[in-house]
Amino acid sequence: MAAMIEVQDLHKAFGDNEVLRGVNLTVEEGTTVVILGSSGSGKSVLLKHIIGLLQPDSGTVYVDGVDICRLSARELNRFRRKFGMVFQSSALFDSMTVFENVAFPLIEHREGRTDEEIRAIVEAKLALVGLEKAAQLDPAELSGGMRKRVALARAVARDPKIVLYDEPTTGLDPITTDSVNDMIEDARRELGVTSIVISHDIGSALRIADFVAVLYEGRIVEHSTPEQLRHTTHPHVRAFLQTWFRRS
Amino acid sequence: MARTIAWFAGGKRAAEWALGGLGQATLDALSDLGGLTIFGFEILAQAFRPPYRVRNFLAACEAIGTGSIAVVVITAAFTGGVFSMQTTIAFELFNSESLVGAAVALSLTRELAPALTGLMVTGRAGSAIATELGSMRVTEQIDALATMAVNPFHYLLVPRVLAALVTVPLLTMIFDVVGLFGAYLVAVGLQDIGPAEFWSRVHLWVDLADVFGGLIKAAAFGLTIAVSCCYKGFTATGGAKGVGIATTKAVVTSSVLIFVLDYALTSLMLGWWQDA
Repeated sequence: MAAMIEVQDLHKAFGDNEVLRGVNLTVEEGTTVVILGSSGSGKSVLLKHIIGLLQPDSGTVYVDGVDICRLSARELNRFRRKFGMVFQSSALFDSMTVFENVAFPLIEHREGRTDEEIRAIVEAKLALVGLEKAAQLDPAELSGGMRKRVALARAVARDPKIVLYDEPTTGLDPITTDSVNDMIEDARRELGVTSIVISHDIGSALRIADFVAVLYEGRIVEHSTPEQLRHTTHPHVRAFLQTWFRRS
Repeated sequence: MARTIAWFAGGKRAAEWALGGLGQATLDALSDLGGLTIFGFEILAQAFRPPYRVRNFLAACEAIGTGSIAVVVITAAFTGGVFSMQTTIAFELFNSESLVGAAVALSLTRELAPALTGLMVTGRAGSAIATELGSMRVTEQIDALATMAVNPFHYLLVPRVLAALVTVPLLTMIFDVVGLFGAYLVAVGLQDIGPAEFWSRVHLWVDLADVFGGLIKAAAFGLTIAVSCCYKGFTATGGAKGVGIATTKAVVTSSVLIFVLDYALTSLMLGWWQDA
């Protein structure tokens, strides 16, 4: 499989706080990689570099063979066509209905689609996440899990190659967490997307990941399959896993 | 002796603390002004790039302009009335009551209408802009726009700034008319000044240059209000508290800038007004 995303020696500091200290990560096409790490370890910062919302101090991010750190603002804007992103807070536009939220990227980038075609795509994406009956609701009327589902429907509206998830299960109850994990697996299976999931939820990581990368002190200290992760020798990763095994 | 040395040392520390604080505040204010200026130029640069978001522009016009009409009308009516009452009392001392209409009209068109309209729009619409954008920032809605390849400057800020640029002068024209009518009602109805006396002096002393000068000021205030409120909202951080702080700063910055800009523009326009 070809590498869809390659992060090479990525460094980023905010003032004196050095968040990323040489991150190296490869994500192969069509796989799901979960980046695990404790709160404040720089997971979201890494994700924002991958989609070009932040510029690194040094290092490179290749997406589909293109170094996105060297793209102009306009080129980067066009390049983001390849991405969909599900935010931790879902980031739905609260001035729009569910239908309008999912239709938004399609209306902004019509690419020759008629209103009827856009309506059909929105209905199909809402059906994918099981929310076809919620189309006319406002985001404020939805539960946390439903909001995540709408966010995914919006993220995949334009059939991106890559979907990024920022803490998709944080703050959700176990049943909703399971349904969000199902949703991530369905999106990968049915749409064939490459997925990167940022999380500190070890249970979800072990369930949905093809590969797990652990971010610690600004570096990826473990990159393995979920099965290999269970037998890791890295002391921090072992400690991180043990807290989860004790709880479950 | 030891007490004197300690007193001097304490005084020196206090002076250092006060001057340090003043210097830091000055640096912060200049940095903020620099950021605001660059932000404003970025918005204006985006304004000329397609697609032209007519629907967003009209929605912003409704929020900033139509929504502010009531508050502008009430403010204008009472400002005109009070100003008429005060100038009549003052002008009676010199037997010049007939000039009340001209004095009120000149004050309104040149100064009061643009400045007070600006302040009203800041309080009503500017604060709403900062709050809305701040909420969008802290709930990642602005980042979401960027990830969908939609430029947030182009989608969110350009329509609001252009709407303020257009609607604040229009609101100022309403302020001019209503304020003058309020002044007329008080002068003629309560102060026994003849209607013909009132209007003839307005006609004699007020020139189109006075009105246009006021409208130019209003456009500058509209631009300033929108850019500074967008800036504060767009750069908000830290949840609900951060949005509240951003809104307060937006209103304070806009209000102060209106007065500073008013002085600068009046200095520039005074010669033009005198020649007209």
